[in-house]
Amino acid sequence: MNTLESLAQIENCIAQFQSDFIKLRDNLTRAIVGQDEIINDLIIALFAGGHVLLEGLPGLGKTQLVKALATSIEMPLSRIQCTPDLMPADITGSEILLKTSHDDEVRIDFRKGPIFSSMVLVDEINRTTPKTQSALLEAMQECQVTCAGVSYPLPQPFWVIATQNPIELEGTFPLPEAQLDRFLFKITVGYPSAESLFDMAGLVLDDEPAKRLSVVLSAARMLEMMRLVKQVVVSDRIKRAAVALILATHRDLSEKNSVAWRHIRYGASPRGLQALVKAARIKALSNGRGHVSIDDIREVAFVALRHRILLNMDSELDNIGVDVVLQEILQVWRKNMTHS
Amino acid sequence: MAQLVDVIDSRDIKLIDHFVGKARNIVWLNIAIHELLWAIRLDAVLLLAFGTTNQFYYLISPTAALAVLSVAPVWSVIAAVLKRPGRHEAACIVDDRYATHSLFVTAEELLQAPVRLASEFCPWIIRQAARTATLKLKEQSLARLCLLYQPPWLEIGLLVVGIFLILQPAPIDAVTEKSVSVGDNVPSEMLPQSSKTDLFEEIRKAALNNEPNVKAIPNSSDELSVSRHEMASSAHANEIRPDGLADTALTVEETTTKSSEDLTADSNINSSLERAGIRPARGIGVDADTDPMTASYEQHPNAQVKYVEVPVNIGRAVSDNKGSVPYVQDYRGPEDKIEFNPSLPPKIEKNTLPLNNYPTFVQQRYASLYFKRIHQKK
Repeated sequence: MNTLESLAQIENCIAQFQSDFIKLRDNLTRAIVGQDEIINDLIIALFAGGHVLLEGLPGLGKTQLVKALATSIEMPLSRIQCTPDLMPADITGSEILLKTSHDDEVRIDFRKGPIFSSMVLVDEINRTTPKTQSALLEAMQECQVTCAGVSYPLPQPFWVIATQNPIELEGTFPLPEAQLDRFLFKITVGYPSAESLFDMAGLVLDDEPAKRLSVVLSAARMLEMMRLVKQVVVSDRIKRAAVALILATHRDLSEKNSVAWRHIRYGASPRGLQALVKAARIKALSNGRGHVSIDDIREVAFVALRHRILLNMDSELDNIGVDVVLQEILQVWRKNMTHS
Repeated sequence: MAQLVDVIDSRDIKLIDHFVGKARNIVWLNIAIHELLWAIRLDAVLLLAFGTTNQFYYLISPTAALAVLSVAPVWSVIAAVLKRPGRHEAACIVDDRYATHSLFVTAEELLQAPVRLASEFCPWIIRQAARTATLKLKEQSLARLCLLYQPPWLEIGLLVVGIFLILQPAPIDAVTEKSVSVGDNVPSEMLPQSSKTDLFEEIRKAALNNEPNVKAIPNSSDELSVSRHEMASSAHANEIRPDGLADTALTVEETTTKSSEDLTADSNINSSLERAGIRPARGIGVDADTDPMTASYEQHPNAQVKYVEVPVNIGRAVSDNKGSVPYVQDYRGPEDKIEFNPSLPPKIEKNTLPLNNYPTFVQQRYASLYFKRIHQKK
């Protein structure tokens, strides 16, 4: 294959990725109306192979969105409804005593829990106890489950999509920082616009919208697209910019009276940097580019960093949200990047 | 793994090099213009300040001002040279200007770094950059980079006004004060004591012979009027008086008409003073019109010149003069009262103008501060 053919093939690959991305997005917008940006972020996390935390009030279509996504990409979906009495074994699985019928032999066998699925919907994750929440840590980070000293690998690709309600705090257990950091994105689901609500009013709500969707991407194609993401070039300037953004969220590394110095207690972790760059690659590819730009970093910064930044007490008392702080940091950062 | 240069077309590399290099030069030009603009702004402000100041105080000569102002443009050129952007910076600026989403930065890095082909996308990125460069060069949209700055009309206008002001001749008072303050000796000190006495005698005789319309009248606080020049002259009088006996000084109040003979007498007195090396900042009758605080003779045709005796406390005489010239009205003869010309026409009280009655700027300032302080205390 000569160079020109190779270049044409690469161009074709990128165009195909962009096309499939748009196809999937359009398919999901048929089921979930008025949440285009959230759908976009969710697909980016999907191609990045990262886990997503969806936060929003009840009735905004979080669960439906996950179901629609699983249907669109033909992935098996298992759902875990979290309650305070949910135990870790209920998620990961447990060893049970089995007695075979033909030889009356009794043996201990591992019964896999609902976590053994490509896509796991953990509904209302903050309602379960920290002990059970911690059962997800190993699965989310290492894609395996250990039970009685034996590790069981999880199917690939593996996604955990958790939901939580930000207002009903009674009887809930806020996720620890270590748990939060394992989510690639934290997507805040807001109210749809008036036009979207008008469109929703015309929909038939007799059946689940996810059931009406067709499969647009096969699992094999999904894996192929995920491999393609790794080819996206990130220049040193972009890497430096991403590092600068992460460091800008650290109080002890920022200037006195800067935004981070005033509002932030703990900044984003190195895992946040990886999430930022990984998500920016997919963003670039979805826009038909083989390289990451500064704007890609900026566009994914909110979803990739908002759950990794811990505000100080003063900011919480003043009711200053993470997004407001992040917005200010991004403004300063973008200006510095332009001038540098 | 293949080298990047083996895979990509050399024409693409040249095209990107050419485009980025051209952009770099344009950016450099813009930086130079930017620096020069700041120099022009600075010069305009300084020139305006110098010019305005020189209207009142002769602080700096036009030559010195121009010498000071030449520093900024020179420095701007040096700064422009130092700030010449590299290829990487130029690529960044091109990306920002043309919204190419870091394409040229990435391409430039890929071309500069001697690394092996790390990604399959690298040749494609170079090709994309070359295509974009071709398009931009064809569109000649590099001109957009040149149009960052509009001509600085405001600064140029200020510069012209500043040049006009600084080339204006400085006021005589200011020049005189400057020349005296920088001079080695004061004329009154240069003259021997006997010469001074002779000089004033000569002036008096000249005044008597020419019958000037001057009259010394007894000291009266009602007729006392003080202007800035007169205050200064009183102070001078205290300083230059050699014998230290004088406890009064003579001030001038323009109240009556001057005839042509009177003006001749005044000019004689002034010429006598000038011959003696004394340049009155405000001569009798001649330069009085220049004082904006007093009325001119043309405005008040019935004005007369009148000498008024003013008591002066020698011990409390405060003056900031640094050896200025004496005025003729500072002279005090051996008598306490001097009737220069008793045969003057009777004084017309009705036409006496309250000249020089206005509070000076300093007095106004003190008054305002005083009332402000009282107000604050309340």
